Amino acid sequence: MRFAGASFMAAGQGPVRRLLGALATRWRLRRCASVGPGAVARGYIWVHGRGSVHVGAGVVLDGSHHPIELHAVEKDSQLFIGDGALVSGGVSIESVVSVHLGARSRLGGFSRVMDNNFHPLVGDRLVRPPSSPVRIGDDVEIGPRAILLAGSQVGSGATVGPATVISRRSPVPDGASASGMPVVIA
Amino acid sequence: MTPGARQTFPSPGERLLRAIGILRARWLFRHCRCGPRVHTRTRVRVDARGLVELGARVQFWEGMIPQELVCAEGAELIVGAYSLLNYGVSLRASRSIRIGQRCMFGALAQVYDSDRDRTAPVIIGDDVWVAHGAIVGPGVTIGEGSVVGAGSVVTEDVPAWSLAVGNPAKCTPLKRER
Repeated sequence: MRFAGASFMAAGQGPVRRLLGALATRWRLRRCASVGPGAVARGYIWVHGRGSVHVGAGVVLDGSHHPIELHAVEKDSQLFIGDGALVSGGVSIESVVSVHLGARSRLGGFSRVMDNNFHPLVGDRLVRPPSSPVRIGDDVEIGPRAILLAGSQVGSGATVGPATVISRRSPVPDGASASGMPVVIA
Repeated sequence: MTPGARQTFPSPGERLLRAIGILRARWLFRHCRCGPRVHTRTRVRVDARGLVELGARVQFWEGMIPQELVCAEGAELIVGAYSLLNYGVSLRASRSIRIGQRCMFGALAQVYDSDRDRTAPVIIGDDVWVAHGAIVGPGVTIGEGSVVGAGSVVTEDVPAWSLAVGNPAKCTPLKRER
């Protein structure tokens, strides 16, 4: 199943525009390890790091207003975006071990997902702490400016409200909705 | 803990990039008072009508959104040596913002010292880590070594060596190592 966004992105365009769009998408996602069929990338997608970034079928990466960062830091880090997911502008996903974004999930603008907090709270702040993988289920809706810190788990069908911070201490079960700061899970 | 004291042996390419970053910073911050080896690889929006002072080896990291330094006329914006500013950081001073040494600012963090109701100086101590997307409002003093959690909104003073999390931020003491 393709996410509805993909069709609206391609709507009203002739075959030439569509072909050019497909070529542009391929160019913008050239540093990804794999790109599924029907994926759409607009604007600037900043794919960097030594690891592998996998983009599923029909994924929409809308960087037309603000760039999107997909960062697989280490050589064996995995960043996986499931089929039909929608990633809005300004989103930054950073993976040191593994970040898995489920199928048909939606990430709101300027939200951030990372599996490592990059600096410890105490001690030498320039030493990177151990990372813990982030797993986001299918059909998840994540609001704009939400922050998913290291080790956060979001179950399938869950909703994360705008500007909510999820950490390893606050896993979101299937179908739940999390919002507020500090987070309240209902 | 001092980043400058860390021994690194960069490759020739990396040295060249650093040199370009330092030259670029000299050009960008030509209206500011800069210490040695201020470094930026990206464009930074600088509006320095007041006194902007950047300490030695302040680094502006590259990213998706440019950093922003705004300093009104007669105001001061002081960033201590060895501080690191990630992309999208916005420092807006209309009277006074003083940031200590070795501070770290996560992406999209904001510090400003005036809103509709009041204008009051912001003082951030040494070794403070302001994490991703945090907002520090007017009149706030953050003690040395403290951490402002991701996405937090700080409206009241934070004591030294504590963790401020939430909106509005609540403080809990950090365990000090050693």
